[in-house]
Amino acid sequence: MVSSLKYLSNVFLSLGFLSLATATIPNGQAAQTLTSVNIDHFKFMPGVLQVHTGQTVNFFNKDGDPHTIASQDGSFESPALDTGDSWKHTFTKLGTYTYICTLHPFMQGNITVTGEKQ
Amino acid sequence: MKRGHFLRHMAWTGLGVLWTFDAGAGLFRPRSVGEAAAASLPGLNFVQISDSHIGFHKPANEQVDVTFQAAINAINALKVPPAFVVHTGDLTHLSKPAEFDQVKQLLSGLKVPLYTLPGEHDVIGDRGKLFNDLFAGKDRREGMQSWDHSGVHCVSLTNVLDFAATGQGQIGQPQLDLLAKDLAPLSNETPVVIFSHIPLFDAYPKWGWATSDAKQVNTLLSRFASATVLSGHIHQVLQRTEGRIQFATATSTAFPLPAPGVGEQPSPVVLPEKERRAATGFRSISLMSDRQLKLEEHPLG
Repeated sequence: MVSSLKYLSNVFLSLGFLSLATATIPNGQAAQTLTSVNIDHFKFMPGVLQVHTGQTVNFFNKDGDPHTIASQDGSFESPALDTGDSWKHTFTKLGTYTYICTLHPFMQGNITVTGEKQ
Repeated sequence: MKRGHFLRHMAWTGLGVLWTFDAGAGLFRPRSVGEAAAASLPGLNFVQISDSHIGFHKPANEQVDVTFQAAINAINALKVPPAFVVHTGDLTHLSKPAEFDQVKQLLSGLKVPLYTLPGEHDVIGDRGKLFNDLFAGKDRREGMQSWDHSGVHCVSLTNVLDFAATGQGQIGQPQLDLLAKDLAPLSNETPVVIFSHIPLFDAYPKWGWATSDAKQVNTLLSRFASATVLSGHIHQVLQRTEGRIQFATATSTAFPLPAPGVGEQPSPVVLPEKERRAATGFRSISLMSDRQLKLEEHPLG
């Protein structure tokens, strides 16, 4: 049991290195599973999300008020999303991104980009 | 929010009432227009207009262009023409070129000079490039612009491009440094008026109705015998005094927002038209020769 766990952790470590090596290359072949963040009642839902590199997140504004999505590091920023509007962003680089709505900057969300989905 | 709460709030903000600042007591006091007429002669009269949100089409106001035009007509019809008008931001609702075209066209109807500064609704996606192209003051640097009129020094600041981790507005060190240089040559006796979009006092930090580095402005203003800070953003009249600095936020020409913390979120308040008109409007400001400040609210109703 102990040895099989050790084996598994080695596999994960190797996968991790592989992901790091290819993380910045946009991968057209990776499964483009669409993940959604809904905006409603001045909240991003889910507020904390984990995706893999190459994955696209669809931000959909269900709220009665307009909102935006802007990363604190300046790497992505949506136009204004009014009620019913959506905007997609594909994450190609590893890291944790904190984003806000620039119209209501007390609204915050986090997206962590991990290695490629195998 | 419940209408009852809102109306009670309106009662204490005193829309339609003339306010004067009693420097001795450090308080704003409501007074009738008749009393005010007997007071000292004005040194400077001007108008503050705010949060027109051109492009907004929702139940809180389906015709924001019509109410904005009504405000402009009322300003043009004032018995004593103001020296200038300052729009304290959120000219547009979503920074769209057509919205900017429309608001520029409407503002061109003003008969007196106009100064503007951006709200967060005017800088979406381009950090204010389009706003600056259309409304650039020739002297605006780091988001700051200053001018003098009738012995009063006026400064407009930008605090909607970057936000502190707490979600509050931010002026930023380059602009604060420029403000310090701008104020340095003035004597303590020069009346100073500062304009910003997001309030420079803690109106309601939980909703971002505050500016994280505003204290640095207060420090710079503390030596002046008369310092006034006029802001927009929160679509309602709130007044505060800190030391000798007098703060006041303005109503919108479009729609009211809830009183701080009333309801779960700062969404537009839907009111019957007559009540909405009473809760929206513009403000005229008089800085009297004896430094007394007068704020007069002009509801659109």
